[in-house]
Amino acid sequence: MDEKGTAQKEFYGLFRKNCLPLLGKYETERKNKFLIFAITGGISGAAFIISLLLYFVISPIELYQQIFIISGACTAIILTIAKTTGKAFERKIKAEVMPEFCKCLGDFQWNPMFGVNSQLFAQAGVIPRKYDKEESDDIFKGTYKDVSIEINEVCYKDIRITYDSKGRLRREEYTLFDGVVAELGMNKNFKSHTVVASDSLLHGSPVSGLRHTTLEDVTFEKMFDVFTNDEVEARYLLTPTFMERLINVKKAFKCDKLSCAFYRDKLFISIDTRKDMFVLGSLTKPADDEKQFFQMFEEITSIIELIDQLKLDKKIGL
Amino acid sequence: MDLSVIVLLVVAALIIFAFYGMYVSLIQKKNKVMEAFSSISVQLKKRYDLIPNILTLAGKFMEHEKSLMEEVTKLRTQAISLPEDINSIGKKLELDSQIRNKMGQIMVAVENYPQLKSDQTMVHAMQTYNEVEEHIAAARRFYNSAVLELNNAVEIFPSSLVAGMVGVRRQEFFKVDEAETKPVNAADYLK
Repeated sequence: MDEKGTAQKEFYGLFRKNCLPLLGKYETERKNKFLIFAITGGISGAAFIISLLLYFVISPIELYQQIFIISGACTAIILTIAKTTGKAFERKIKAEVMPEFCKCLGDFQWNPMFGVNSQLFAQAGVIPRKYDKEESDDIFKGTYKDVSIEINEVCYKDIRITYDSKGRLRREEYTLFDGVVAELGMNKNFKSHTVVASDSLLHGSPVSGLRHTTLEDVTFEKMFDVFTNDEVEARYLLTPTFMERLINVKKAFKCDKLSCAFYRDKLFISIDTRKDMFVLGSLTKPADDEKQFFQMFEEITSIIELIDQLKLDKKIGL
Repeated sequence: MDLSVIVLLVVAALIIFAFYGMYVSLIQKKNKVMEAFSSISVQLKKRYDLIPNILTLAGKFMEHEKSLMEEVTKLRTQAISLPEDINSIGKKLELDSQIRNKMGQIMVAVENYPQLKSDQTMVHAMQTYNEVEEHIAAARRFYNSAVLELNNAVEIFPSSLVAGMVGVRRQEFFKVDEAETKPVNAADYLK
């Protein structure tokens, strides 16, 4: 069995021993909540659809209109409450289970409150410098093979105020970044600032003071743009093998945007996955459903594996 | 003023600007090659500064490698005495290649001296030496990339015209030694 297979088996064993017993008590609560929302949501939703059909197909009388307006509003309210309750339920489960879950992962800690230092990531040049709204979800901190790692699921949004044709004010949120950011310890000493960003036509640097440079790997050059303030150190960090590994990481995550920056003795990585990761405690699934935890384990390990893929634990200079 | 004269003046101005643009770009590329060359020199200097420390430490324990160490010292002296001139880069890198090979042999031989191998000062010196090696490799890659950009500009029309007029010439790439591309046989070092 390979290293990953062994780690997975070990995790499954520890999870079943330490985490599963904690989840059993939430199942009754989840069932009750699900039942309430399923019944109330089902009734109001059905009333909305039936009254809508009656009004438009049979006869447009005022009673049907009133029913579909009221039932429509009720459905919307119930769905909103269900979503909020679902989130609160997820938080509750995570608060109790995640510390144990992290112990199963190894030397890791989970912190829902304090996200990574976004300013530092913006200075490094891997996330947008300007954004109006930041949503930070889960943060995992720990050490893997003596390399420090901090993982955070984040979303950065821009709020744009527009006016419609009738002059009414509209507030729209545009997602600038939705994915995972990670801060990793580095195996090499460096003083310069180097950013590897997804390839763009104009080769605009994400950080001022950095110069675009061309490296010798043609495939890498097609996928990424490199900006640096020290051409030699950039090549010292971005060895041909490292470039190859970064290409593989981008392919593995199947994402359009992957950036990394060598800044202040650390490696900053951002992966714009555009999907909600580390999801737990769904009201529609049993609380002790192992699959969601194993899915989360896979997602976290895919990030931690960056250390293996980029060989950050090796001081071999490749 | 006649329209045709205005058109001629505009065309002439455009040509002058285009030529000036090419001239600026060529000089920038030439200077980048110089910058890359000086970065190689800086990294080589770091290695030359480090070699005496390693040899002094190694000399305390290694008795069978005295001649190897003397050769390194000789080569280092030759390399240092070369002028800091882009025309001497070929010779400089040739000497450097020899130094690197000999130093590689010394590093492998260190394995035969457990006391030396575990000496913290030696461990640190070897780590620093390896880091400098990586920096030299990076500097060479930077030099080759700068030379590629310059050579393309010097050889491709129309900037080749401007290059000919202002005397900007193509530069030689740094080539890897044939010996360096051959697979390493560890047994040769561990005899």
